[in-house]
Amino acid sequence: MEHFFSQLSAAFGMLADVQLISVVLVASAFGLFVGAIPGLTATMATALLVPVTFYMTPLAAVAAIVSCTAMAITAGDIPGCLIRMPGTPASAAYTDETYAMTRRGLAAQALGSSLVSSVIGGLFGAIVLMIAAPVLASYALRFSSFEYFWLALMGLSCAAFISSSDLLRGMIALLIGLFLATVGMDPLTGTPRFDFGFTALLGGLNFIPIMIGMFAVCEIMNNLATDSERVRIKEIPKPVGRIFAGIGGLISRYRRNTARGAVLGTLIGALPGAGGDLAAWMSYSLAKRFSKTPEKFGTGHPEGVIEAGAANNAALSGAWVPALVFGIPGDAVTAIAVGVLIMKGLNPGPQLFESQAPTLYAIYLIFIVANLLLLPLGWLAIRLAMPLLRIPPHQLSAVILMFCILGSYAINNSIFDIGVMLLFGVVSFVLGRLGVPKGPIILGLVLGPMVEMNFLTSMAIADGRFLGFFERPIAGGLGVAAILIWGFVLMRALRGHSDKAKHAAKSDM
Amino acid sequence: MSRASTDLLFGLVLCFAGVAIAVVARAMPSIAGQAYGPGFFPSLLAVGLAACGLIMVTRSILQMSSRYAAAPTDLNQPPIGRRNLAALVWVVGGLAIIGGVMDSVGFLICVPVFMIVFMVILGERLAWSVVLSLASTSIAYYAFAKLLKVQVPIGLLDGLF
Repeated sequence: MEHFFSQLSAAFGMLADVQLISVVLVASAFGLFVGAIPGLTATMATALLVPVTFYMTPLAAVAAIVSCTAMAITAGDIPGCLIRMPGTPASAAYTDETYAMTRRGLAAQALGSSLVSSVIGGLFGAIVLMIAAPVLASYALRFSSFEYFWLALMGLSCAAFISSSDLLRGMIALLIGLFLATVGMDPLTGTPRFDFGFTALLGGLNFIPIMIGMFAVCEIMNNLATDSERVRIKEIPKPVGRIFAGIGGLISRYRRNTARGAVLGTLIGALPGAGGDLAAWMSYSLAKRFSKTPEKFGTGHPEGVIEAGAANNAALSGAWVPALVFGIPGDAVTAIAVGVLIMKGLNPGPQLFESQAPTLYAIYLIFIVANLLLLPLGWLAIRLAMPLLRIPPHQLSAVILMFCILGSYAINNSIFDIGVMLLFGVVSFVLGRLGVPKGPIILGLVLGPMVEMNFLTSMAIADGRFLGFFERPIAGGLGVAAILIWGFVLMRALRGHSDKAKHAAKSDM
Repeated sequence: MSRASTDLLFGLVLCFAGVAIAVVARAMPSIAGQAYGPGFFPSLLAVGLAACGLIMVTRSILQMSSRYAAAPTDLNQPPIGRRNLAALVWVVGGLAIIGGVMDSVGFLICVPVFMIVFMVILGERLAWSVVLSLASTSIAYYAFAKLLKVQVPIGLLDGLF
């Protein structure tokens, strides 16, 4: 216990740093700005932030990512509520509901309830992270390459299965990500692979230009292709009133929803490939299913908003549990964060909990601080929402593209990285048009070296026997679980196809 | 182009990519005393990609022969407007040009030009586009080059800054 308090006090000491506090505030403002603008996602905000984090301490870099993402996800509710355009995909589940509330003159209640439930969900997720991560880490210290291989493989499969309604496209995305991870020198022997004669590729593909290309350049291209310019606001909604008035009573009335959203969000967030948007959709439908008044859903009813609002923010913290303990990110944002941690020399894994305990405690505290900051900064963002929504989209896209160029270049002072950014922007855009999801590509890219390294190490230990992967009890259990999951998913996919074939045959007759 | 034919083409590209990766991976040196060399993992991925490509091809052929219902992913997308298409082409072309000339011409010339053309294509006023581009690139240059000490290429403006 004394050890715990000494670590915690060291963590508080790390937080009491003017530079760190400034980083949190600036990143929060940036997150609120990006989140409040439709078409710009929280992942884009994180990808654009990464080049700047390169010049920060590891803790400041993580603090910037955590606060920026939490703010962006919550600010995404604002345009959804006011002009029916979700700021980020995580708000899409309940955009119609909040907009219906606005039309009924309840915009303040909609924004207030989603903000406060987001804070509660985020705080719950942060507490779970604080408790679960060290416990899991102490357990994971006993893991060998066999367990890590199965864990990484389960994480990857999960990402491929969840991220797309089409299993085949999810698998293709995953394989592309894993292949990209093989570019550069082989992790065991140092043999160059797929470097095409570029010395810049010998160390592998640089993660940051890829992220900027896939999440910033690609998003701008998507916006151009779908012509999803933000609507010019002709009808200015009435100023939003006191957003916290009566919210305490409302949250208390729907306390079960808040709790269920927070728990479900944290659990879903921890699943690789399932981010805040999936958590929000599931929570919203769960709220409707268990509601005493399901007929009110869609008419401007706060119940689903509160549950889904808590879920999407809780998912953010949940995603950090497997990311910190096993190095397996829960979503694209944590995948970027894992990449940043590795760049900073903080390789995620159970050893980190022994060697860098105060830094990890400081990271947990950052989650708490960022979520508490949501209340005043969220309030401010709601006040400033209308001028933000009036920023012309093309001008904003031009400025974002400028930062993409500069951000990609700044990592290695290399023009080559601008080419990488462009290539991945275009490839990601084309794959998006073909319905291939991005999430598994990122997870494959991050987890590829882990899967390969642990596979080859395990094969060497087991003397080339594949059965060796099942001989240790935990590894065996994980292996069987992985095979069962694949079997179940494959069966379901095959059954789906046979049903379709029967249906088609019937309609032919 | 229908969704099934796009899928067919995509499947063929995946098959081709799988075969190409497998050929390159097979040519990688094997390590003495080790059963699994640097080419093993890429070979597995190549087989996976080719298999997925093959399934995609089969599925799209079945779809084209109307025996199957549509695939679950909806790929029907509206056509891109002329102005937006031009901007899209400029994003790709302009970034490629920047990659080629930024070292010699410099960030403070290349990027504002890129931004101005982008905004003008999309119908923004020229004067405002010039002001916004110059102001934003100057601020970003100052932040990265002077505060973060990034070696941003100055190119033709060497000596002025």
